[in-house]
Amino acid sequence: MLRNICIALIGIVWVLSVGFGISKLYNYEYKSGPVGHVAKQWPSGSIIQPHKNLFQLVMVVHPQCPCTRATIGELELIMAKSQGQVEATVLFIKLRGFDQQWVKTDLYTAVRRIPGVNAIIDVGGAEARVFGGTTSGQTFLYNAQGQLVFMGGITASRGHSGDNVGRSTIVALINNQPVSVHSTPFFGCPLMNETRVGIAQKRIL
Amino acid sequence: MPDSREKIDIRTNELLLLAQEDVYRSTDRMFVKLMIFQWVFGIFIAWIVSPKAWVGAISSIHIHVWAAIFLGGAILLLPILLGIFKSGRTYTRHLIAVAQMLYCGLLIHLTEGRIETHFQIFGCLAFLSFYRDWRVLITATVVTTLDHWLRGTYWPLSIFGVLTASPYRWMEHAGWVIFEDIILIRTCIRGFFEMKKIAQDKAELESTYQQLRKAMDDVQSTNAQLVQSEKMKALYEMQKEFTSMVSHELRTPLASIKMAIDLITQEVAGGINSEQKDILNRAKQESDRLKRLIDDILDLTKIEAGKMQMNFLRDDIHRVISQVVEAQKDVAQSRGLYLKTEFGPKVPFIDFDSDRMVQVLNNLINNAFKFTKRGGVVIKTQDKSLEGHVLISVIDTGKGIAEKDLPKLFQKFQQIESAQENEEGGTGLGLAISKEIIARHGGKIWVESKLGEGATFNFILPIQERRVVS
Repeated sequence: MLRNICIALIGIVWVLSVGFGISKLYNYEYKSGPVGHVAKQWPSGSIIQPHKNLFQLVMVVHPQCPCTRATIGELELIMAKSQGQVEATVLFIKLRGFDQQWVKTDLYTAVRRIPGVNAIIDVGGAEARVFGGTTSGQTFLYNAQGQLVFMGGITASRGHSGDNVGRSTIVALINNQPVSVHSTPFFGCPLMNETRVGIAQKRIL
Repeated sequence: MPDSREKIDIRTNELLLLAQEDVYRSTDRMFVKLMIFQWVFGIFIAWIVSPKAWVGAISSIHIHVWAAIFLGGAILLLPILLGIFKSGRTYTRHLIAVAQMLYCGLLIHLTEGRIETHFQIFGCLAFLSFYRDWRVLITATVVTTLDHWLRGTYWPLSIFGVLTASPYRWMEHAGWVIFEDIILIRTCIRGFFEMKKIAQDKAELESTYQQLRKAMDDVQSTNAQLVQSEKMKALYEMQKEFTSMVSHELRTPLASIKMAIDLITQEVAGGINSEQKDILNRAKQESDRLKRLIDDILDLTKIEAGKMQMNFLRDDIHRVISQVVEAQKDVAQSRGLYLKTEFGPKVPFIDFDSDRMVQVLNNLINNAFKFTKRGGVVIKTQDKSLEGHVLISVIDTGKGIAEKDLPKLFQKFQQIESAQENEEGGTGLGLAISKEIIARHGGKIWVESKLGEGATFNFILPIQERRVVS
């Protein structure tokens, strides 16, 4: 009798601990970053010169964020499916106190290898701030008229490659197909420390 | 008692259970090693792929590393412990199946959802089929299917990357798992029947071996008995040789003693008084008795060794009986007894060794004299041609023999109570020797008597001519 109770207790403890661990992991994986003051129109203060007839895709990246590796993979797929209708720029944040090598990670190298994508080192995150980017992997898509048509993440969860709403929405927009959403949650490392406290914590679902 | 087939079936089931337990235990051990490797590998992968999480310029250990250590540990620790301490149990392998599926999910997360990592699920299912227990595959499949069904129905974004998915899309994923299951379950069932066949062959082999072993034991036992018998025979031969040698060695000095007594009694060496004569007579009687004993022992030894020469000749038995009676007449008279013959008519000639027949008749007559105080002894013959033999009877009017003593009479060194009381004594071998001699003639000897009514010793000798003279 006591033995059975012990076995049952061990089983319950096991299920609870595994369940707790999985729920914590999922909570982290699906926790969206905060939304800042997003530029609805192509910002005039941007250093990027947009091509007049093309969609403009801007992505902000923390160069050390491992979660963004999956996002870069998804960007590569988008570029492959865009058939030259989009011009992409990836802003690699270079924070104060770090040298150029801190930026030139495997993410930087991977982005440089994608055709049609420009990799820009954004010293101090000034350019990211212009677009309202707060979280690594956050992506902005402007149409040829300079209007924001999509903002959000292009992975299903943090650092998780595979089919996702963000990627399929961007591809659809580029190909002039109807879309059901214009924003998705974005998961990644916060670009700057103050982003956690200085910006309103609105979630987009 | 179950018959041989049932025994083999029972043994087959025992061996099958043992083989299954062996498979379960060895697969548990394999999974213990695999799970330890998975745990270490998960931590390594997490550290390589996502070592640190960043918030601006500040970094910390990535949650994937902690998840690999603690969540991975939580998932794998219990099945690892069960695999070590409760190896072979049903719940151990089912829990291992559940843990394998959960850990596959974790590893997919740790490797950023790479499609390649998803194949680990199929690999784990293949590993689980090592148990050759298809139920374990069902448990693993239920866990995977349940996960896909719940998440696909209520949270499709997390598994299919879309906001709304077909309510049956989870079936597509589960279908591929079930597809592999069909192949693996078939392999498990086939493996089970192969194990059963091996168990059956082994049980039959064991049964045959046991039969063979028993036969070998029987042969060994027989060999041992033979060896023992040979040893006994050798000992018996030694005893006989010893008896024969000792008897011969006793006869020579005994003959000298007897001769000396005779010479003194006959006063060859000078006169002796009556008292001395009595003493010498008693000494002579004892010497005679000792000689008879030695002769009897020698005869018996010869008979038992099969060395007694028999000279069978077709002759008239009446002639031999008359000769013996004639020789014993004086003895009878000295005892105040009569000794006569009553021969039946037409007794045919028969084959017999006359010397040995004399010995038998003397034994029986002397025996009768010893126990007869009044009356006498009659020797009768009867023709029993129809029954194939001649009957010879030595009938006395002595004190008879108690019924309880009758079976002892023809045994070696057996003297009945009344014989022990008799002053004349005896060797206890005479009747045993007579029995052997009659038996060598192909005949039979027996006694009929009641206490106080005399005794009749009968023996029969076959009429048929003997072809072989031994």
